[in-house]
Amino acid sequence: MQTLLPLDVLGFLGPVGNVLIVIALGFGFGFVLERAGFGDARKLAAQFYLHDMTVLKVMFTAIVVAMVLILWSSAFQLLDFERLWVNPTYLGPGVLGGLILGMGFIIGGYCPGTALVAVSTLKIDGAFFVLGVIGGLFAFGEVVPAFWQFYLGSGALGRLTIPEWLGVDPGLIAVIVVAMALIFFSAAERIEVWAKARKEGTP
Amino acid sequence: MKARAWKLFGAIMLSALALGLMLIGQPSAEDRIAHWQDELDQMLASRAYHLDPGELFTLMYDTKIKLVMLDVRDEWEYNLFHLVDAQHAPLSKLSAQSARQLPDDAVTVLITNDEQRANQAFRLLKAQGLKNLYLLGGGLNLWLDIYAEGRIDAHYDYTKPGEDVLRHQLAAAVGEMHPAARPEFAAAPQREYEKKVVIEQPGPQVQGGCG
Amino acid sequence: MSSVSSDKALPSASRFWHPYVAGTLLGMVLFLTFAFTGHGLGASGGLTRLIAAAQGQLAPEHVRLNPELANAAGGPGHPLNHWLVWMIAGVLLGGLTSGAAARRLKLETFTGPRLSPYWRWGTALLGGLLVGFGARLARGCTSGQALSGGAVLSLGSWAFMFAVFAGGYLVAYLVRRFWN
Repeated sequence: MQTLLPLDVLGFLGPVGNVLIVIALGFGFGFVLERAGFGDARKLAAQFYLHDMTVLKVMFTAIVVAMVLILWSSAFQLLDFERLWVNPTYLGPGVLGGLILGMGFIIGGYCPGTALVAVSTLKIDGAFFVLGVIGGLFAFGEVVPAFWQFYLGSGALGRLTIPEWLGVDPGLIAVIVVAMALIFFSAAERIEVWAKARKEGTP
Repeated sequence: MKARAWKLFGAIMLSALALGLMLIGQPSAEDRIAHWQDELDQMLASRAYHLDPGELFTLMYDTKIKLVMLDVRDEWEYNLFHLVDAQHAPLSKLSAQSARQLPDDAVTVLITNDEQRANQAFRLLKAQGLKNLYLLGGGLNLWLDIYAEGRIDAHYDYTKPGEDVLRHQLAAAVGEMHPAARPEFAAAPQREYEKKVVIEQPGPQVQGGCG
Repeated sequence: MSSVSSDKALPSASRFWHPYVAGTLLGMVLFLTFAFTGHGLGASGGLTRLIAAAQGQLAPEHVRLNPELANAAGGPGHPLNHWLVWMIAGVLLGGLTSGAAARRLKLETFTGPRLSPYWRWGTALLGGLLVGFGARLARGCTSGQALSGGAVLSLGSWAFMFAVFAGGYLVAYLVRRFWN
């Protein structure tokens, strides 16, 4: 007695089907990333120098589209939102980790997903980046016992969505997120034009 | 320019879809119950989820199973008498997110005086997808018949449901300070019952982990 | 020696899909992922498991005694038999296929006009280190937390996403010579 979605693939297609579906989804992910030009660190880094806001556009569009599809299918009880994995909120580690990741992003030019795409298209810098990621993942595992409390407890709010946090309907948040995205996109386009002009202006 | 037209189209589509979401809303607890009306009716009618008090008694002492007992009656009823370790979870306070706060790997048993309120709570929680959910068949009335009055062959006629009111007289509000709140394992009447609990594995509640 | 691509070789925008198109398609893939699996995408998690699996082979006691490693090494079942690992395989295949079709498969190093490839390898390594560490600290990366968590409106994920952009912009000026 469950909504159709999320699909119980393990039940329908068994473990092999499950693996194939996950690979197919990863394939779609990698394919689109490469098509968007995210296998290129220079394009990714350009986001932070304002003359190419592709990262922002792609990310926010993807989030908004997925969010709308999820909420609409949930509204019709085709999909059970309660059965979806919502990343638990850990504000401390999340924000600190995000800052560190962001710094690594602009220094190294990739994030784990795009680095994989770079490696798949034979980019050597991508390979070095992935090596670095492995090192970072490993280093964390070794070092984390030292700040275990922070990692486990700082701002640990469990599964919490923004509508639940604010006590409002998800639809309202959807409207706000879409509005925010459209404002960001419009601003981004203007900034791109300005930054490009500035770039070309200086010899 | 074509690009501009497409961007405008996209922006309008997204805005419309988002506004639509606000208008249509997400399913409430009642919506969910209504959606699964037939299945829920069937589940309750089958009696496959109404546990015999003897089975609940056995579960109380089963160290291998995590047991959660939810007493869905009003506070004064709970204070009058409740089973040891039964949590007070009044029906009026159960919400659309209650199921999420309950452990998926525990056997949850809903308790009331007869069955009515437990049935309603069952619908609500089951519609939210809670697994391993059961009810105390015959409620505390039947429980006390057996464990307080020693009537080992007592039974509950579900075709003639009562008023969901405690039949037994208690001198004062004893809460769980009553021998029948957790009958002694060795001394309690041994009851024959039909085992109904079947442990469902928690679903793919993935450790989405480090994405 | 591998060739170096400098700024002159930056592919023009028309060779890539338009960002909003790519974003919409990515959003659909993300939705399908939730629909078929109940969770979102993920990249760093799979790498974590691979490392934990390797460590498990090489230093089993160490893994057993460290709760975070023990967790990553898997709980019941083989650590490599986990969706995150299969997802990585898929991503590599997908990137490869798209790159091959667009003739972008080339053994080379992308770097800024003022940075030699050797230095670039160093910055890539350093950047990766920070990203790897940050990803584990935040329990996710841009695919797992920002995209997936963002789509389901997780509070922590949105906070993470803003922090990533903040971190990038804060440091961008300092490392401008890497890219411009």
